[in-house]
Amino acid sequence: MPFLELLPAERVRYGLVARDKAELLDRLALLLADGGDPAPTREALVARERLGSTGLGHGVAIPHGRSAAVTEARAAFVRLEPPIEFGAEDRAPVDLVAALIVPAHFTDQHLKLLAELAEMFSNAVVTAELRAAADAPALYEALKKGLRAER
Amino acid sequence: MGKAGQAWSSPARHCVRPNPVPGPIKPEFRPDHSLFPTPSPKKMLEKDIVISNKLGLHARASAKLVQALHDFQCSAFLACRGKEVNAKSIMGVMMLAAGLGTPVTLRTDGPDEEAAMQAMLGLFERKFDEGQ
Repeated sequence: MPFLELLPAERVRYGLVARDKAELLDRLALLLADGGDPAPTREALVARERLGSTGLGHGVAIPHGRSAAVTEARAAFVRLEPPIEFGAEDRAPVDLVAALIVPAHFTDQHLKLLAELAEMFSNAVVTAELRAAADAPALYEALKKGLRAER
Repeated sequence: MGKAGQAWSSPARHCVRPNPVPGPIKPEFRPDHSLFPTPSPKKMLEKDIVISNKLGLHARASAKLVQALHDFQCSAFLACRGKEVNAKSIMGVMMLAAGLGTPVTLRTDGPDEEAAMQAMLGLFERKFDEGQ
């Protein structure tokens, strides 16, 4: 299941403001819960960050979690303004965030989703286009283009 | 240039042996092969493994691998299903989407390649300290 299929337009946010990582994870849990209880998702995201930052460097992060309380995989994409400290190894503040919550049994599917994100984020042309997008629809278009570009 | 230049380029220069007595040539009169290096086959370490941790090379395991290699000078690569990536890059390692049971080739190349290979093998053998 490609990342895009988990990401409807309403879970793409442009210019989201979060004071710090904790607030960002709260906001992401709300987005990913899609009207349901955000608590299990928030717990999963926070627990995962405790093991080590999901900041990949170059201003990109992929907060994600696995939860038995979640029945379907969901994704969200956020462009933060301003960028925030995320504990990435290169210490660069993060502004491009791809978030993911998956059911506990996801293993190979989960790996494929991570690989898809890694391919996209390692392409400097794509990240430049994601950062150049001026609103949520443009951001969504840049994402669709970037996620297709790898194939 | 002029006379000195001509003398320098004289073809006889490397042919003259000052000592006609048979025996080992003194090192200082060996032709300088470094001027004309002959390509030697590339030497690098290589090991084949099979992913044995339940979750495979997910983000956290990729980060652990990159951290374990951080202090080594040599270059390190992972190859899987015809794709080779830099083992010192989280994004590179995640791109493999290598799950449980996937065969992966580890390569290291450089001054500390042996130690770096052992560090990588150790992590895979310990299942990235994930316990399963």
